[in-house]
Amino acid sequence: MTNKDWLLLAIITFLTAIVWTVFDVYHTVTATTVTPAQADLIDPIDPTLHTEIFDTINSRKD
Amino acid sequence: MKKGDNLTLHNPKTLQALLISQETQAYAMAFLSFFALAFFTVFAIRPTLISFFNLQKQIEEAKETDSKLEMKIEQLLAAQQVYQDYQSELALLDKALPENPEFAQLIQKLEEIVNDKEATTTAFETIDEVTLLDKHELLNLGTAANAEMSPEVSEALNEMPAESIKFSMTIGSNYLNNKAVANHLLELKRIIGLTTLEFTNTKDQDNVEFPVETTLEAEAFYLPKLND
Repeated sequence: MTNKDWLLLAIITFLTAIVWTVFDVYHTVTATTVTPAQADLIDPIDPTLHTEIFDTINSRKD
Repeated sequence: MKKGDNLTLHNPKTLQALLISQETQAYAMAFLSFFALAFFTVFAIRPTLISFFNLQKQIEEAKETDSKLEMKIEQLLAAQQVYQDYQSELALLDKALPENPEFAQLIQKLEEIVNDKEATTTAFETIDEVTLLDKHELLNLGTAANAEMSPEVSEALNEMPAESIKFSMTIGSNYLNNKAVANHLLELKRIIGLTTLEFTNTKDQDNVEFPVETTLEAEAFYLPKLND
């Protein structure tokens, strides 16, 4: 291998390391750290109750 | 020493000449620089950046989770308040949609209504299979008594999607009484839906004691408890 080849190899190695790092960082930024169990826990609930249904049922016969 | 010169490297003098040549020194410096950069990128910069962004992401999501949990706590408190306010009324929901088919009580009610309206039930049949015990009681019965319950039956009980019992009933009386029975059925607290209602004038038919016969096909709904 000539000097040029060694230099080219070093440059390619360096660029590969850069690309690897960029992809890893991108993956870290996009991947969520919230577990499925936590996601279930924080799922909102609707506390409203359609209370008019009680009047409707009350107005019916036994 | 120029580029392209043929050198015999086993000669120390020639090797020394090569190493001290400016071109080789420049290449060696560049090679080592890039190699060192790659090395540090892989073993130092990459882990540091990953840790940094990972921690930042965790902090951001932890804050978001915290605010959502606080919101959920508020929602739960609101739901608890609503539940306490209407606790006495909740029994009404069980009346409208019982957890079990409560078929025996349903028949008793039907009989009561028919008698009240001075009509007579001349025929009654269930359209689907109806069990007097609910699904869990049936399964427990099978386990407790060590009865021979085939896997198919057990599986069918477990997967029973039915949320209504369908029945057909024929009543005889005059038109107004029969209509009153149908109306009363629809006005019961227990939710019952009529799928078919047929009035037949039997005045011209022989051996019939009622002037009008009414055939009702209905569905009584119930809401089985969901398994967790």
